[in-house]
Amino acid sequence: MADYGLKITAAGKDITSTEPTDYIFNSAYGSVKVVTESVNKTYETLTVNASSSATATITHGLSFVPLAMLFTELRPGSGKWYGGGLPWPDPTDIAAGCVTPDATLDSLTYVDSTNLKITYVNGTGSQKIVKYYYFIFADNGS
Amino acid sequence: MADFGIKISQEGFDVKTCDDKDLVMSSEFNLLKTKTTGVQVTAGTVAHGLSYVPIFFTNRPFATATHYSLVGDDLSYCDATNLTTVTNNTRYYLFYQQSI
Repeated sequence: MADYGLKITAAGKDITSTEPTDYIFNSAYGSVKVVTESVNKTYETLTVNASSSATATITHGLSFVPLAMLFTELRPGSGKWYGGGLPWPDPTDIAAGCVTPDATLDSLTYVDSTNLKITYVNGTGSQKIVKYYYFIFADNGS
Repeated sequence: MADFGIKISQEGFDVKTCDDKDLVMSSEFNLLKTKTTGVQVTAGTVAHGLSYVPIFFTNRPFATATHYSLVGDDLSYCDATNLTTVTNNTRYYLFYQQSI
């Protein structure tokens, strides 16, 4: 690598260190970059009717499949946010009535080179307004 | 921390007064530094070359290879030697920072 860039060490570490973990930032090493996140940096909502499903589609505008993260409050009002939102949430949330992300078909909840697509299934007898938050990174892992 | 360093705010925020969450970066906070990224075409181990369990992200494809799961059902795991993937064509991101 050419000898230029920006390095910031952690407190007490020498700037000549060759140990990557001694640096807060080092332009020799890449870092994940958030390219898009939920609008206005607050959660978004999706209304899912009783015994139904609903889908949100976010067009990311990148030309590759980006790294993405999804967080969902599967049981509205619970304050419990699931990373990704496993189809198998806490039994207490199931008992109290929650939605689940639909991963039964691989066309329902995924990220591809165009969209981040999220489908929630509501198996309860009442409408749910589901909160979710996502991050899309400008990194494709290849 | 002593009052020196670098801060960069997001557009529309005053770097001198904005909340930390509105910064693009600050030398006050450690940033993830990428060790390596890639696609493990055949499920199995990726030797990461670190002596500890690093922070990592993985993202597995569904049967439709261009669709990558968002539902947190990727069973990849990491130890102090290897990242192990269980689905072909899993994408991985390994960082220098120690997780455990």
